Amino acid sequence: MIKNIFNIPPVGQPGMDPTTDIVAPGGFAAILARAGVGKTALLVQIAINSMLWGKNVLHISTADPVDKVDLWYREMFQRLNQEHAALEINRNRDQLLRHRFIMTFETESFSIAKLKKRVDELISQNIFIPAVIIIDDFSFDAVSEEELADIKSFVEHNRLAFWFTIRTHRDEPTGQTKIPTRLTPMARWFDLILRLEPDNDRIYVRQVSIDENGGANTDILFLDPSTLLIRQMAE
Amino acid sequence: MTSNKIMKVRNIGISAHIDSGKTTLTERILFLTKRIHRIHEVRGKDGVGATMDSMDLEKERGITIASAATYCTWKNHEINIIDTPGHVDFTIEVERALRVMDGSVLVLCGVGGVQSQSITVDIQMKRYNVPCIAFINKCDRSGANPNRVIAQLRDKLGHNPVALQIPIGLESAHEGVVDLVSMKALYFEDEFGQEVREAEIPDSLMEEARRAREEMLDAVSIFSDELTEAILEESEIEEAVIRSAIRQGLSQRGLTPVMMGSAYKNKGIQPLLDGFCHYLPSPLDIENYALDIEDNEAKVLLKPDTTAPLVALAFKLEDTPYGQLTYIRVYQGQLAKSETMINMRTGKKIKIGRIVRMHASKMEDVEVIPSGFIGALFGIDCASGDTFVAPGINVSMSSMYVPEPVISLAIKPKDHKSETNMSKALNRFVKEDPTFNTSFNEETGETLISGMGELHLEIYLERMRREYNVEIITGEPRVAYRETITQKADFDYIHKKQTGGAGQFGRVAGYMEPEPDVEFEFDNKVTGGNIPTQYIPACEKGFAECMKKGPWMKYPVNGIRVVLNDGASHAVDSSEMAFQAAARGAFQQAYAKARPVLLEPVMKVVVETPGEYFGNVMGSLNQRRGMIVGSHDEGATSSIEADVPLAEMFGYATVLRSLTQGKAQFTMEFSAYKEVPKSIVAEIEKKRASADHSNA
Repeated sequence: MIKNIFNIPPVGQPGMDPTTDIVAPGGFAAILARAGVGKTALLVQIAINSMLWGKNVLHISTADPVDKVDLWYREMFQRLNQEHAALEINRNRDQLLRHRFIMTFETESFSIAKLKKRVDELISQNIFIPAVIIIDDFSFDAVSEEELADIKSFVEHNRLAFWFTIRTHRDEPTGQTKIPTRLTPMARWFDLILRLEPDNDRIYVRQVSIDENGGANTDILFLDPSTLLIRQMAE
Repeated sequence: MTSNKIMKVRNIGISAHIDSGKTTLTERILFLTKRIHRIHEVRGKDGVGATMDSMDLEKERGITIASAATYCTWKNHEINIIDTPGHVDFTIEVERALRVMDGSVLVLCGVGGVQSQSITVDIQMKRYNVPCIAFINKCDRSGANPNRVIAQLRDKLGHNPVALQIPIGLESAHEGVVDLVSMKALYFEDEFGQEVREAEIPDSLMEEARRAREEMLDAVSIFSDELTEAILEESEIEEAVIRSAIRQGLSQRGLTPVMMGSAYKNKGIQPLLDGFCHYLPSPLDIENYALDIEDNEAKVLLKPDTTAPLVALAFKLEDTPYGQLTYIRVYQGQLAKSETMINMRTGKKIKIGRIVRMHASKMEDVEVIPSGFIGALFGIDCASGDTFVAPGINVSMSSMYVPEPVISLAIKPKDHKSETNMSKALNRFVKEDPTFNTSFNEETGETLISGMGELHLEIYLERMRREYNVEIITGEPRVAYRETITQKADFDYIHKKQTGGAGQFGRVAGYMEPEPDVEFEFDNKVTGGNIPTQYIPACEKGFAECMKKGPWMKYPVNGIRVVLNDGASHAVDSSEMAFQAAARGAFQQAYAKARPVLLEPVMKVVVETPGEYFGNVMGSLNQRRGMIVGSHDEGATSSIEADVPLAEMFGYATVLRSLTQGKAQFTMEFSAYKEVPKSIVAEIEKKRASADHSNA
């Protein structure tokens, strides 16, 4: 699972170790946090992890232009190169980047239907066949249940793992699991929900589980606030 | 000239993406400032072409190739304008224009917004620290959205855009602008928009205008305490206070004032001209430096004072029927007829002859060009980028950034007459354009011309045909490949020759390793005099010589550090020649072990296409070994960014045209040298071998 991240996989070779499959194909995952806590940093590291295993990642953004998204990767490559020298990220950068495609949309021109059309074009023409789609700063407020069902069937049909980051707000009401109540009805769609929460000198990555008793949060990792790199709890 | 007059001088570049309307805007400016008396459209039916596009070829293709310098006057200000080409292939022209400019106008299409070339131009402006005003053009076009363009200025270029105007109507309803500083509505009347009618802001726009003015004041106030105080005291704010704060922010490159209109429909041009005078810096506001040759190239601040010794820079050459015309910017002192100046590069004394001020292809004679001004000289033999100074001072303007050519083409004259003219033409072009090179291959008897892209070379071939009557046979375009190594390798080589005559002996030992950021680095770590000091330069020379032509594929070698740490010499037989030969042998020995690879220029290609051709365009880039970085969807259009090897881009313009019914356009610029895949290396080796065979 997510703990195996950056365990020096064979760089860029297809054939992912199933133990590193954080979300199974056809699954949904979400990262929730307030603005500026580190959602994109975690998401980009999850993307790089998939790229290291030779999986194609389609990164979608409705907020930032291509260059800015690319800058996130370049910065993360730099930091990972310093911390995980054995991955030889700099040397393998070109090879890794072949597993990434950035697709950005002007906010007003974005729609689920358009996204599906674009992804279909990429797949049908054999231009880029994603295994993982990540969508940064997704606004669930405007998405209906039907649309979610539509994405789910699209994701299952194409055997994609779909990651969302969702921005939460400081003062909004939350339930027992600290998920904003406006998002609670959506929770059932997700196979994995992670929350980022800064606490003392760590940014905790907490896995949310929901059950009949309300649910709970489990600390599984943390981000180093100075580099935003993933750290294991034991470190 | 008094400093008061220099304060009223503006040296301005106009730069933008292709087809954003730069030349049309310049044409309107010249018309409104009464430099021309009729407007000629870029691709107008009158067949005259725009005034600034003076070369036949420019008029025919509707593009601006060489930047033409001109000047005009507006409200007691003298404005020198350089119209710059938008095609990346001619980017050196843009660079040179920016080098001599104190300010710039970034023209953006109200529909297309910040496009790829705008980003390139912006990088260049940052490099030369040129403050700019943004002008959102084509507000009359369907789909125009100035707010989106402003957001792109912020997001894509990282500017702090501050709208000084809001549009009165957009698309076909575009009538004028609301000036947020004076809070007046401006309408442009009569056929050519010559008459500006000032009126009250329409009620329907009042609220939007108030909100926009508040935002503008908020953004501008950080540059002026006076303005901040006035806002806090809620007192009447004088226009002059706001303008001074904008000027302050702009000169620090802390904000980008945004103005708008439609050059084609003659709307918004006069306020833009006012904006030049109000906001853009004068030569007095800009600090320009030269390098002191006598003091280890220390920076020397130049004084924009006509009584100081002359320092001037030649930034563009043009061949005219009357001889070479040299465009020049005077930074210090003044350039006066009959006086003497020195070309710092050649050390030659030059007597100043005819001085002119240019207006595209027409000119007027003047006696003096004072500091801060731009003019042109006749009869001066120099290269672009040369510094001219008064006798007795020894400074040079810093050299301009010149990108390396990435493509070359073999050319042969058809007949003897063409041969003479071709060499004349090439001499001229090399002087005019530092990104254009020529070389002669003695092995094949071919002349190679090199430049920044297919279009760049095509234009020069066309100019040779038209201006010099040269008939040419051209070969296939060739990519400027390079070689480098990927791992460290040791060498230990003895050069020994003792058969007849004086003997030769030299031993060199050490290693070579990859050093990606340098072309060639030589490090001498020999201790104990194993190689006598006097032979070390010979060793370096021997290694450096091998870099020119790689032992593997015969392409230039880059990115190598050679460390020499041991060796041996012979009291009688060692010589410089022997150590040079030893170094050459050592290079060959280590190079083969250092896993050499072939590198090719990879271009950053950006295609802008209507959404319906997204898949086709993607496919076309994918087929060309392109690595697609990403795509950006902007409603009806998409832009796709990819890194594609230059070798695969030949003829792409035609392919793209047929794939998209001519509706897509692309730009490309050099990005980096990257390793050529093994399968392609084999093909290149094969081609090279067959070319060598046919030449033999």
